[in-house]
Amino acid sequence: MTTSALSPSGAITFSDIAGFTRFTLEAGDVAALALLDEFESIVRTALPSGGRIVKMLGDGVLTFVPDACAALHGAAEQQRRFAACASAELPLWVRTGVHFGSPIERGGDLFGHDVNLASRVADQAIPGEILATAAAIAAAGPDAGLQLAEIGPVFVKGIDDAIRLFRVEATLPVVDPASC
Amino acid sequence: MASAVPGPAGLPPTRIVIASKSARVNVVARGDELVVRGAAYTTEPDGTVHVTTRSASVDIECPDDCDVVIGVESGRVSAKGRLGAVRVSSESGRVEVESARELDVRSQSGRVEVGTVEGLARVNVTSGRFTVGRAGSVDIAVQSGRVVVQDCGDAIVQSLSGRIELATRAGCDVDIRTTSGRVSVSVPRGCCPSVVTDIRSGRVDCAVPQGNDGAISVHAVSGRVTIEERS
Repeated sequence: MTTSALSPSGAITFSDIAGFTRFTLEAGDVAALALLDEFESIVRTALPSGGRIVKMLGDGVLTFVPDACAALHGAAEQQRRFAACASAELPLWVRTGVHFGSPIERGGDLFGHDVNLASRVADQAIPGEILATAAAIAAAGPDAGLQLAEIGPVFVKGIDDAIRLFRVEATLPVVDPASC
Repeated sequence: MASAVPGPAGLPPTRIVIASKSARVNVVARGDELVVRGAAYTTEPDGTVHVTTRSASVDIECPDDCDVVIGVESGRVSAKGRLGAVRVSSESGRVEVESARELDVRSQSGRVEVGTVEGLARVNVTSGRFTVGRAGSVDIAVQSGRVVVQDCGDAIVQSLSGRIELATRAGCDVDIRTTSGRVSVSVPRGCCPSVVTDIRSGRVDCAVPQGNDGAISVHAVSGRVTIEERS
């Protein structure tokens, strides 16, 4: 029997490749697989210490990092690497959404409202952009060294109240996540 | 009758945040006072005024150059006069902004019309139609909608399968990424940009002479990009 448990609080991050379905159609399965391999490789390389890939989701990835500051700087590092490697052959045009909360863990996977919300946040992002909830920004703390712009109260599918979202500049100076 | 909302130290507030699921939101930059009709509001110590409403309509008069942040699900947004930084997110409502210092609009399926943006206009359209008259620079992402920018400086354009028409000034840098969308860029007559293409199976029709008047880079998986002179 699989047991469920409340996971410790942490940053839940969704990243997905914009236009992946279309790319697969245009470029074929082999090219799409190569794109996914590079995507996953960059996510693993930029994953902060203590973080884990919860699951790959076809054209996206769900990660969990206990420390919000490290998660946000890790997301910025991911975006810098995606931008450096992106081309027409390898369109790593990736949207990222970060939320901080306490998901339910079951069989190594994460579930719950906070996971759903992180997914909705990623949906709002422009390719190449990182959006984060107010909870993620607050958990990162005032000394996180983040460059932020509030994009407003945003209504997302399935959630009644507006949520406050912030754009996190991916051009943040490189910070060792261990220093967060 | 609504009264003026005071800001910190008796000065008018300089930032308004409005959240409404379905109300029609009308903002007018006029004079030097903030007046809210049809909704409750709270004021933070830094002078930011938060307006939340479930009513049918909210009308706001604010000072010129006031920053405005608006989130609606299905309501219609109208912002007139000269505003500061304007940020709007809308699932399906129609959005009109007359003039802003800078702009960030995210729309799922509504129609968005913007007059003038002095600085950066950042736009994320899922399937709606977006028109900008004049912008200092643009950062546009379209999934399947249509975006028309009639006059802009530097531009970053990302299109999945949407259509983008861009009229740029001379000497500007343009970065285009498209999966299968259609992008057309027009430059002023006599302008000779450098054009760099990175195409998988798409098509680029470049009808301008090459030179050093800015740089246009195109990354296309299979889209179609046209670069031409304006008549």
